Amino acid sequence: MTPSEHDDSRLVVKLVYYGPALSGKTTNLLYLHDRLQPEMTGELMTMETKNDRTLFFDLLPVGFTTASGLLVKLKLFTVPGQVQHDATRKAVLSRADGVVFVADSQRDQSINNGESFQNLAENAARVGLDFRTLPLVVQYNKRDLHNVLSREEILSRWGKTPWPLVFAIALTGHGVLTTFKHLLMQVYARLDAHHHLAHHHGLDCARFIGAIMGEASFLETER
Amino acid sequence: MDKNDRFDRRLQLGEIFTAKDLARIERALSGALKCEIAIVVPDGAKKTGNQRVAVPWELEPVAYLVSREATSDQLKGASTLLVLLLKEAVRYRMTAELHLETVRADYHALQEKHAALERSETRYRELSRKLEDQVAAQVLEIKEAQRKMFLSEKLASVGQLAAGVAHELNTPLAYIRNNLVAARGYLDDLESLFAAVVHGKDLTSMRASWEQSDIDYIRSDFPLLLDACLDGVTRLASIVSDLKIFSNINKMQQSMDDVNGRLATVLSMLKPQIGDRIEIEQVFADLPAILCYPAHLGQALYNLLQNAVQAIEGKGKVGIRTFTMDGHVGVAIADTGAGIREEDISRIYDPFFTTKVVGQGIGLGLSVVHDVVKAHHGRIEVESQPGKGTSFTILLPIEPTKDAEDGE
Repeated sequence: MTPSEHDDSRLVVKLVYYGPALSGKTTNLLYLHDRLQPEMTGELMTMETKNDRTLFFDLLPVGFTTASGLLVKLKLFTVPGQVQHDATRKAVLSRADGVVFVADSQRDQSINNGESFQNLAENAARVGLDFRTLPLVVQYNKRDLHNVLSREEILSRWGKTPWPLVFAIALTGHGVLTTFKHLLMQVYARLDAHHHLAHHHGLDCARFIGAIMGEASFLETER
Repeated sequence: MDKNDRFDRRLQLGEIFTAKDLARIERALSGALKCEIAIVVPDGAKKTGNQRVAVPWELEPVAYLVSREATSDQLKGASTLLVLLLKEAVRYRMTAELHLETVRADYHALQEKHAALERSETRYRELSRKLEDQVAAQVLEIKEAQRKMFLSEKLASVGQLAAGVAHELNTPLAYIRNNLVAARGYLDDLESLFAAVVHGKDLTSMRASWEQSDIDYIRSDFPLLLDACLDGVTRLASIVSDLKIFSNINKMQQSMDDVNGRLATVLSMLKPQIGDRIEIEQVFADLPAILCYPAHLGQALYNLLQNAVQAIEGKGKVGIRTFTMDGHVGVAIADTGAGIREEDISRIYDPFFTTKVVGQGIGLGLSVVHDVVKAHHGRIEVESQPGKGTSFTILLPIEPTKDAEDGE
């Protein structure tokens, strides 16, 4: 018998990095693996092929135990971005508690970004996630490259959406922690609403973020 | 999908390694560290006095390494080794299960598509069946309407036939009657001569009587009157014969006959009508004898040739060709006559349909041809260009099937 993932002593949260092929999802995860300072870090599993293409998924488990004895476990996943792996993306997205959409800032990737975001919305609906309430952060990556969309262009496209928007250079880590922190803030609100973390476990949002990120939570605030 | 089938669930040790592999790992670790080491699952009973180190997987102990003799450092090292083993095994296990999950999802999606297709196919079948029913109902309706129309047309046709037949019969009857009345008058005129002969009058008074009654004229006119009467009777007989064929086409005996010979006979019968004004062009192929109703076949050929001749005003040509084709004997009769108007083509085989003025025909000619050809299980085709001419082709099977021999 497998014990239930959620019980009185354990809270498992699934976070998914989504986005078009080669937009930097795995790079985000690798940087988080290096910089997060949680109480507990599990084994990082990446499944890349020769060409830096994620084949199935990457997985990074991090977590901590509250003073009340609750084990909070975050499982960070990436999906394969290539169009043909849609069934895998759908399976990985299933039961997600939060999503980071990693877009590629390069001008010629606009269509791929749009299609991938559309795909995210459709797959969310297919696996029974309410896209309107799903914690989501949009990250525009690769800001260091030439021929990228300007901030103004991106803001005019995304500024009016309900989702936080972060500009990033995942290779150097710029914006990666900020993105993650924005996600944790939204995720915490949902978890607290369902599990009364503050009330039952003395875990408020700042402590939640601090327990996962450690000092890294103070490193970046730029949006 | 069962929760336990999800690829991203936390795996238990027993799912990752088989009992056999676990035993091998235990033996390998024990051998390497030169002391007894056991791998126990978390809910296994704690054994006091033993060294115990967790083997973490996904932030929780998935097993413990337990040993009486090993040091804590030795066990930690062994644990790290076991985690590395776990990582590879879990990587394989998770991807395999994810793969399985996507295959199941794809299969499920395919099944749903298949079911949707089946539903739509059923709908189309149903639709097609309904359409067929509707078409059948409409065909029935049309047939009924046709039958009613045919009945009313038939009634009208019967009237037309009666008028036509009456007229056809009336003309010869009228001049037969007139001729007979004249003949009766001639007999009165002859009476005085007969009386003179019977009473043995002298030659002078007999001659006077001869002169008075104009016996010379009677002598020349009487045979003409009777010939005209015979002619009229022949015409009446021919009309009756047409009507008879029309009414009992299938009640005759079949026999072997030669179509070329039949055509030659018919041509000689039509000779007076053909005269010099029409050129006849005959191309007869060698034909096998066919089982047929010879008299009817002759009548049909007669009607076709007569129509061809009548269609030509003034000078013209009638071509007659016989041939064999695909087990059929064929006869093609083409004229350079008036042709048939397009709007009339579909009605030419209808009984009593005629474009000739009243008295020229009662509209049974082509009808008889059509029925005769049908009785022989043959086909008839027509091509016509108004003003240029008409060509009829009839095809009769050389070996009628058993069914055909039975008639209809």
